[in-house]
Amino acid sequence: MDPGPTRMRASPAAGGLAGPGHVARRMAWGALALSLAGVLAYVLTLRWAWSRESGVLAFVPLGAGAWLAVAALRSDRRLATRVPALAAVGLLGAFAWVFLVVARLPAPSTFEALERLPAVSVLQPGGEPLDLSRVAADGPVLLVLYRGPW
Amino acid sequence: MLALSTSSVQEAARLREDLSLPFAVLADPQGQAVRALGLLHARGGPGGHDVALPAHVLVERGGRVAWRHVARRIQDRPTPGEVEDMFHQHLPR
Repeated sequence: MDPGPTRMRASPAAGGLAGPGHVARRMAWGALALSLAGVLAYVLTLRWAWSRESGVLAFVPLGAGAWLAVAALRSDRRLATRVPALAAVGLLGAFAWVFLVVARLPAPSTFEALERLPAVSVLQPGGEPLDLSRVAADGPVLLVLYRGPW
Repeated sequence: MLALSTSSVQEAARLREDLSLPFAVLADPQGQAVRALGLLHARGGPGGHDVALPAHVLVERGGRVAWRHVARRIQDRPTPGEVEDMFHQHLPR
């Protein structure tokens, strides 16, 4: 009996198109894309306090990306899989380090016990001195402390 | 509403312009006021420059502090709604 035309198939063991290596590579690149999307989503939603402060829009896709990357690495250790997979895991680590460690600020010294604005001189936009304790002499004031113009 | 920054008068003006702030930015180039407020972040700025911790202070007429908020991380800020709530909660109409 004629078996008909044979199809060319790449060997799964070689990581060809139909093999587990191909699937793992796609998973690894998908993981990296997911992780990059997480970082981008965080940057694009910085104006929303809930996103900026919780980091949830970054950590969910970054976590999913890292999980996918580890799954890819467990089935294929070749360079074409390893590079995007490790990049995805590295992105999660780097984002978590910046978010949780680099962005942490020192505790204020005596601010929590502040009852009145201190009598110290600051400079108005025209350069004239102003006693900080007098800024609310005529009405309530919201004073916002900025880190700087950079 | 007023802002305060450990910058020169010129830098404070640039900060106001860059952020399109509708209120004045007071300058504290030596950091004396920020230090007196207990909000100095020593060498926390670029090049080891002393800067202020990001904070909000609601001051009643006369100078008494009615409410305060200081960021524990760079990205922490009260929302405009939270600030507005504090206005209504702490300041008599």
